[in-house]
Amino acid sequence: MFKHLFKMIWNRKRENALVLIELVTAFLVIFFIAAEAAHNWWLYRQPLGFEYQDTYEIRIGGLAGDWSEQDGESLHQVLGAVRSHDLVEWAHVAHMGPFRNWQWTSDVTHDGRVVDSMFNQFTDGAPQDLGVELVEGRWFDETDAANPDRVVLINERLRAQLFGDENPIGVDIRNRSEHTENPEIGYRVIGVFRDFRQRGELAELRNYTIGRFPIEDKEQRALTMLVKVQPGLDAGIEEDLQSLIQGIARNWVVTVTSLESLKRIQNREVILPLTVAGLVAGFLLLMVAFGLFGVLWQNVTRRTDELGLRRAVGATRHRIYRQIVGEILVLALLAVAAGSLIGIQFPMLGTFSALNWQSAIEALLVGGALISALCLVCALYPAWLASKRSPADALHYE
Amino acid sequence: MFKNYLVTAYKVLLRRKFFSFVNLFGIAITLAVLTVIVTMLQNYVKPIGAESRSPHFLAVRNVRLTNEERTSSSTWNAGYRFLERHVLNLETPDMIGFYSSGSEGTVFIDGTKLSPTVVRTDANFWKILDYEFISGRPIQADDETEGRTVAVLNESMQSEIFGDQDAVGRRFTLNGRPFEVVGVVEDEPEMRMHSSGEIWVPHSSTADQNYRNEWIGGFTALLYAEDPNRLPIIRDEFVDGLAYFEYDDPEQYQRVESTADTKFEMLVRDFMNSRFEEDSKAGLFLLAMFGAMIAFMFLPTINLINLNISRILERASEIGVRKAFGAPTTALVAQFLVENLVLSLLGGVIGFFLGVAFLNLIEASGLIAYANFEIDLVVFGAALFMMIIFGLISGVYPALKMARMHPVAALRRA
Repeated sequence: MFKHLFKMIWNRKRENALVLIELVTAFLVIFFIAAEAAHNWWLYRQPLGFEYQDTYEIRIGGLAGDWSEQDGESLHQVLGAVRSHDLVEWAHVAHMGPFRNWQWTSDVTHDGRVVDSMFNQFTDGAPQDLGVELVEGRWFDETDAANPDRVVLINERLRAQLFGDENPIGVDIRNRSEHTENPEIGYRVIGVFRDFRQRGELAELRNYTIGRFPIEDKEQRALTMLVKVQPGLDAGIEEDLQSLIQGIARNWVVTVTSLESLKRIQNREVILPLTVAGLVAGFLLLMVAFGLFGVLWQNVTRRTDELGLRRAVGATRHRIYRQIVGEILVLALLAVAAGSLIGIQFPMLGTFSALNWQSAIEALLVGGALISALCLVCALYPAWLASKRSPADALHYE
Repeated sequence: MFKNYLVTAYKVLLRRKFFSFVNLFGIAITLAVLTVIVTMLQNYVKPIGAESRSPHFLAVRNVRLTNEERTSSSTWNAGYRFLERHVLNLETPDMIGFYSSGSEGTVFIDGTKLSPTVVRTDANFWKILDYEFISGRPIQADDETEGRTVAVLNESMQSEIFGDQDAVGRRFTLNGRPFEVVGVVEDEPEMRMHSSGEIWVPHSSTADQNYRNEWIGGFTALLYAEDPNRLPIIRDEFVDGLAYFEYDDPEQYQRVESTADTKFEMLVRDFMNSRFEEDSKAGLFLLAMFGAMIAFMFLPTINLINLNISRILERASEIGVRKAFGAPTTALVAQFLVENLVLSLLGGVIGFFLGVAFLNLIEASGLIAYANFEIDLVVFGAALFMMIIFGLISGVYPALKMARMHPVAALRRA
């Protein structure tokens, strides 16, 4: 049966080649969009590593020049005032808050291995309050202020890449940065946490290192505060917080933004282009479907005599129907096979981060299913048209 | 002769309505998408709205400070000190203005929060750009020198903060400080790179004046010339001046890199990642855009070729008769190409209006703040050009195939 269908396709190879090219192109369009979508869906399902509900990011700006000790003094007063606000559950200082498109990255080395990692700093207690899960070791606390080692915690991903099966607790890692005066700073690992996906649910998984923000050092510049309030409050709390802080630190420009709205904006930046690409691809596929339908319809009309002959020598209607549908399905199969061969080059070469083996295979399945379904739907009516013709009429056609 | 072709094309179009619909649908969708993309890109660079004088100025935005070995660097937009040392003292421009990139401000109105985009400007900015004032006045020289807390709002901000009343002369609280409204301008779309914004204040109206010591800050300078032909001279003077860079701490940075660009070059630099190169790679960018459009048209073209080939059968009798009476291959090819071009152009016109409808939809959706796309004849012309290419490519192969049909075989089908 299959061999026969191949032969039928081969006999009309010129026209089928063009249909095949069209199907392969359509397959590749679906493949790329499906891979991107599959990868984002996978990222979305990975744990975020922290809680963001009812939490506000407060950015401290307007300080073009240096951070002075006076600002450090203000920071202490601000923290005290915010923490004693009735509706505030906790308040902390961070180097940078989540759901923003900025990051602090640096190379980390241990035992000859070099990997890059994102960095952040929090005041004591902030990771616990944010709901970051400690896997082993301990968090930093105020006793570390007197600790001569700079202490850090690393996420599980960084631990696996840097240490493998070794125990990381108590080991010094080094930070290589060409932007600091001291090219190599040592950090002591005191704990491992699950994850902290600073750039949100749709960002790639990254290595992450959390250090301690030395709040006792008044010359340490603070950029961001994170404040959790009681649930169910309106924008009034933002105004309260802003005027409270602005009242203490008059030279700062303070911006209060809820993490939930930041997350929404950030997700939209990924989802919107994907939706637009999906819509455009949808229109392209509709066009391909119409085109294919037209081509098949014409082909069936042209092959009236051939199909009539088959009916005359005893083929049932059902068999004619199966032949037409079978031919186009074999063509679809060929297209999917050729498209897959092109498609799997990308995870092999590693050109796009979104196209790894997992997303590529999911995309191949989606693409294969859609192309087959499209071909099947387009073939149903022409095949029915071909099968309902009576053999007498068909032979008379000659 | 040509008239006959057109009549045939019209008849063929009406004969099998389903096929004509499929053809037109494919062409129209393709062109609609292209129209949307080209119009959006073109609206970035076109001299329209407040940026109507953009052919008269160059912009200096990105600045990079590095050491000789380029091992350490500091990169962002120009700081005030950079402007003072390398921009504001230029002699060739007729006028120099500057503004800061928009930052998010906070205004509270009855328990709800607004987050307007706040731009800090000097007084010349308002002379170089051409805002449409609804009421009041722009920021003036004495506002700038005295650091007054005055503000110009756009129309939407006026109605959000003050309702339907005229805001000029009234006060509101921005980032916890009181500002007086001196002017109201029409909304400028978010995609206008120099003129977009919601609230404009004097650059000196900040509580903290330390920004004056920064080499790297958030500023963009506009170098204006009455005569656009003098822009290259201005660019040369600016670039030459960069050689006399002296950083506060000469040990840390010894070199400065920056460019003076037209709007188009600025857009290209962002896309092509060529911010500090002498050549903005504008040519390469255009080539890449053109290539992307051709690639996008590949699938619709193949689709149309397939349809056209299978439609030849429909015309077998007609071709047979014409060939039997001695029509040469070229005449048949020409006829078929004309038919295909008519179809493509018809689809193109439908697609163009479909594209305009999509653009209106994008405007209405508010995805791009204050979007107001202007669609001009250049886009329409480019669209028609693309459609002619499309029509030719998708017509040639089927036309040849049709013309080569043996007259006997063709007639037998009749």
